[in-house]
Amino acid sequence: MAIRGSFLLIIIISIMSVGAFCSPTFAQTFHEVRVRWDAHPTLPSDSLLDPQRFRAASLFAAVERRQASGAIPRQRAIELSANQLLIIAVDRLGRDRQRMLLPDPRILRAEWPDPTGELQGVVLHRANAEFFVPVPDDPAITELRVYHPRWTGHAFDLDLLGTVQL
Amino acid sequence: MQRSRRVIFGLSVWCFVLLVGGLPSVWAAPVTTVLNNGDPANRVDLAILGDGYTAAEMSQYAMQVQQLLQALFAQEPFLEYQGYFNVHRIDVVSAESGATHPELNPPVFKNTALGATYYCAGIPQLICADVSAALTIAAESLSAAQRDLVLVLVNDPTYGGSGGAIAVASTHTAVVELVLHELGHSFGLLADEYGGSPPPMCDAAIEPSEPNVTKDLIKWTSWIDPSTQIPTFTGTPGIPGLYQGAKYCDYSLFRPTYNSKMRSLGVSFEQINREQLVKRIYNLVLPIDQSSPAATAVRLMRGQSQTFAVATPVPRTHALTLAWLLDGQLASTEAVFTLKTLKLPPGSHSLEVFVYDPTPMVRNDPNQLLWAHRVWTVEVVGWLPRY
Repeated sequence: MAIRGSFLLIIIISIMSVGAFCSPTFAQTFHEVRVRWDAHPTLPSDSLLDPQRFRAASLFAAVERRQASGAIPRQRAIELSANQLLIIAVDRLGRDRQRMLLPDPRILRAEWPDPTGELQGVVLHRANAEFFVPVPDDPAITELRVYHPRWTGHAFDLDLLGTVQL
Repeated sequence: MQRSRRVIFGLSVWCFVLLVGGLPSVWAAPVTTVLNNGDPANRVDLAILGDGYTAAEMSQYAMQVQQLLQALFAQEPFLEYQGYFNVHRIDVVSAESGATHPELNPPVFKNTALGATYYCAGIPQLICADVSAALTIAAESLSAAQRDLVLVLVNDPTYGGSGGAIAVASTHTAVVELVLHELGHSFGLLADEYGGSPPPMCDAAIEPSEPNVTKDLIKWTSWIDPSTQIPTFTGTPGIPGLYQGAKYCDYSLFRPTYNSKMRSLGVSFEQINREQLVKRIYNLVLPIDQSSPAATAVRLMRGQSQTFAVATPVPRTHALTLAWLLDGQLASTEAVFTLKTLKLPPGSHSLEVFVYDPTPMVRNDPNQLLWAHRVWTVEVVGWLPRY
């Protein structure tokens, strides 16, 4: 028991410098913005594309805004991936008010096993997509900035894909 | 004249109803929470929508959702952490049963709520569905916290599915393996571990970002036994090492185990992918559900006792570790701690509780996602009168 207690103390002391963890209460009210992304507006809406051959356009529009119930979804750690979008809600001066990672809604993965069970597949992109962004009820927020995390080999660069005026 | 008045009155009532939001949304569908393990604010919530189920097939749909969940939660780490998930079944009714098969002769077209269609992009097993409609129905039927993950179950026994922002799966029993693999991507942020001819293109020019593939930086060294040869050539399953071939490259990129669910269906995720999935679960679930008292400052008369408690999510076979520290000294490892102030000097004291998941599935947790911490300031004043 003493060994277990000492072990616990060592672990605890080692993380005390981390400071405050996330709060268990998520009482902040919020609304959801439904965003339409016409990534390839000249193509039929149901087109599927090879993402390595087509460059996406930046036509984002808020098509719906509605009050949401419950707690605003939260992520304890921002772990970037090239398969996600980073949405940053900013105020009139461009100051960061809220960050949210969402799966890239364009991605369509087609994967299937060969007779041995080993997979093969392709990754396609939809020509357009919609996604919902939870936004805190913060009157200072005026714009959503949509970024795509691009991996450089040692870090992610954020490519601004477009903005959504609120 | 009378008729136009009635029309105007009817329109007025309709507009009023719309304005006050008195009508249910045309998109909302009935929801049954089939797995309820707690507040969605602190759980991973999976929303399942059916497509190609008629009103008469709703009980069949409910049964097939249960079968899917049994298979999904039969595999680690979802088995151990099933208590960290909620599952909501959305009963979407389609006009016709089944899915569209344009590849058949003659082609079969079905009028379904989400338009599930095989042979999408000319790929036999690829099912496309109307993602916008699925997300809209999910949004109208559930709160944002209740749809961390969205899956469409297609009422068709032919093997097929797809991954991406939402997963799509047919009712073929083997498709659960594909769902798990796609969760590895969308939820776990894991890379494919298979090689093979393009597409997708092999890009071995830079170190990949994902935790389960590498070019020349082994990210899973803590899992590799010192006696394991690097690079590793054994075909024995479950031996972490450095195996050639990953992320669409037969050479130059490496994976952590000989095989895994990110490479093949019908096998385990294996250690490195399981670790990542557990951390992703904890990215949405704090190891403390509730703590009491809610106030962070507590004032007690000397001699008075106060109970402090935390509630935690519960893994299947192990418990989370708790430690209560009073003024930095370990005071208890139980879920409930009663502070007796009789021997405490008057003044301010610190009471902290640390909660930690000691699971052997995780060896690297740089963001300390498996930890949670609460602190109270306890002010001890005066004496309680003695009778």
